[in-house]
Amino acid sequence: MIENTKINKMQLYILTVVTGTGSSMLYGIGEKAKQDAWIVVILAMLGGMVLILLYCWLLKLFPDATLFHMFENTFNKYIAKVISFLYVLYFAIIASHVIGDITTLTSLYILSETPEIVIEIIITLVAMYGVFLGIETFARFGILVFIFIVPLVFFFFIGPILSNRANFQQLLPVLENGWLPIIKETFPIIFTNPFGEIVVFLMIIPYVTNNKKVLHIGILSMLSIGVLFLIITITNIITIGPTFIEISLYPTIETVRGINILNFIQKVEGTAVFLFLILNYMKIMLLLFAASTGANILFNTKNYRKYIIPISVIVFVLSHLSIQDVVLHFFIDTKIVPYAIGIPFDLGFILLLLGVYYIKKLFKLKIKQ
Amino acid sequence: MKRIIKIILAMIITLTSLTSCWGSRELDDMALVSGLAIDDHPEGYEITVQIMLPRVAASEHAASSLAVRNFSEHGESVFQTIRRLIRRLSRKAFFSHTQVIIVHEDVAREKLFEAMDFFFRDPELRGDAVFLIAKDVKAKDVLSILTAMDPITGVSVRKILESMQKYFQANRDLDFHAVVASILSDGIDASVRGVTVKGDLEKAKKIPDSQESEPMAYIVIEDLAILKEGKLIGWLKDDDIKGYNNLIAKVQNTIITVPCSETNFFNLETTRFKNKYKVVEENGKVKVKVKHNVTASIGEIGCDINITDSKEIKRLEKIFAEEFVMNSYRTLEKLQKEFKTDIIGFGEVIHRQKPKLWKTLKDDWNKHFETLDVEITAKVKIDKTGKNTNNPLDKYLKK
Repeated sequence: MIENTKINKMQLYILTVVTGTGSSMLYGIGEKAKQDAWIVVILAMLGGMVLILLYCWLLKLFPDATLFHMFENTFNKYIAKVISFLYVLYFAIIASHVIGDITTLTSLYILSETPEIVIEIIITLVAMYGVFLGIETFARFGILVFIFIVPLVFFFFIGPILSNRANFQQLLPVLENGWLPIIKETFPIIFTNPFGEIVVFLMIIPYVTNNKKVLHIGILSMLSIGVLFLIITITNIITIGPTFIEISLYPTIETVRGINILNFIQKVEGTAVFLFLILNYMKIMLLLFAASTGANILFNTKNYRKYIIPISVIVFVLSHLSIQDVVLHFFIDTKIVPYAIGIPFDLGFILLLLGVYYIKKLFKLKIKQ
Repeated sequence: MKRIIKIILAMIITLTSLTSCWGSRELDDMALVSGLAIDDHPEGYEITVQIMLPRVAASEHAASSLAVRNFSEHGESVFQTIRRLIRRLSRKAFFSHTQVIIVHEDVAREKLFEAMDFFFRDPELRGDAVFLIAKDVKAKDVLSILTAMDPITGVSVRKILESMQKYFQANRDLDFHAVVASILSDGIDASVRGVTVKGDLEKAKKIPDSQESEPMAYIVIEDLAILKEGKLIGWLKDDDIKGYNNLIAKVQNTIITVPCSETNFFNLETTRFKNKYKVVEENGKVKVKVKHNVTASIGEIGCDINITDSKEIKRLEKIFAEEFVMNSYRTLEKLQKEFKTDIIGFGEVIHRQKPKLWKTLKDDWNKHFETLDVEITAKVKIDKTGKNTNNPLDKYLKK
């Protein structure tokens, strides 16, 4: 049922970091907190670490198991199947949002005349192929991406400073409006991209060699994601300022546009678009993989590859629908997804799992291994 | 056999999808815009784009043939007008390389926001086009001046402005993005450079000065336009720009002149110019203390003075410090009394240093600015004297 392809711990770390840094770096986090958005990032990172602790706790109870196995062992068979199915849908919905995001980005800045559906088809096809090849393949691709993004993120930070467009004073005054806006921003974010979607992490654990102790990898990857985000957020604030971050659709790209070092290195926003394209690819592939593997477990079959095509079709259709109305998409992304989808799937069901497990233990009921 | 089919199929799919023909933009089909001019027109706007002619601009004999062409069109709104340009251009305009956006003062007086929304929203236009307001001449006339040194007028204007920023007078809001940021900010209002044309305009519109050594008409960047809440309300003239320069402290390397007798002057070249702002609350009122810290070297001496005497140097430093303070106060007074607009950013300073206080002031900032108490001091340090010490012709100089 679980194939023999394995990834080692470093690949797990890289996979998690690269997936986590996917979509939000584009949009920026915590705009409502204005210049304190970096505090939001730090707090959200800490919140994400709490989530990681929860997930690793689960892994201690159920070693070498995916989330769906845990459901099957703890809950009644039918409830477990229903919840697992909901999770497959969850992964599909997030994947469709991500594809929608990249499509809008690409068609806005690069391919303005190509119909968006064509961009989506190509992205979906390539992602499908990546998933088809197996987790080891795209984990190795992830290493390449990782080697790319870390210097690029630092470049995006140093670039505006060297081009004299960075004004550190824009970080002041700190805590101008108090802690309330910060806290209001943090809570939804912990549960959506990027920090909450680490629940997908739980689906790939069986593929990792020596997966007894993954806690330190979890914490390390959360820390890395947080640091990368912090750098980007601070760069955005010091270059374009909090007002522009609120009104721009893609603040990071606006920041990168301003880089003009010695009139020599300029107009590098293509690099930024490329970076986000690749990062989001990893995210899509991992989500598709998680959904396919999940469906594989759900329907008790041997090969997850059967499910790639149907799930991809669903994801494709959903993403095409989601970009029809930009304003609605935005509204759903910020107001509905964190509360209606993020909290139950990242936290709710996990707590339920833990709760039922311990209750069963308390009453010494049988727990299948 | 099956394998061969699969391989061929894969090749076909890969090759056809990698040709990137769909969104392709051939250079031959693009009209690269180097400058944009917006004038007032009874119908709405008149927009002029300056298109670069690539083959000519890159060639060696640039001065002898036209490297740019201007196209004008009028319409009711900005986007509509730009689209109408398609009637005239054989290629579609491509705005990414726009160097300069010039808006006529009449447009700036009444409808700047409406004009700017398009430029701000379109993803092709970067925020780094330089923004200027044309006075006394139409904006399109500024773009029609052909100079010998830089065949593309847009680039030429931008270069003039950039070297002014470094060596003469620095404006705070140079490019388009910065202007919009200043307009949007509560604590400061935008100030934009003015551009005009001096000389004989009609003659200069032809092939550039290849026949004469002196240009018939040339572009001059002068004056500072004050945009209160995004609308042009007045101009700050040359003398007052000195004070503005001091208060903004963006230009590091500029000159300051003090008369030392009826006809002669001392000139200092500043090498470092930094300001310190401090907000204090005295007796319930807000006070901003500005201190100019200037490091300078002696550029030109017009009177008899012994530079090797440190007492004389100190005297000189004092004279210049007083000059800075006087200029700054003069500009400040003009801004407070006549224009009632804070283009220097005292609001932002208060915002950063005393946010709670700022909350009470920010709604009506320009009104509070009128009565703002500002104390300006300056400290000048002269550390270099150029290549010589005293002038050997000293004895011929007036005292």
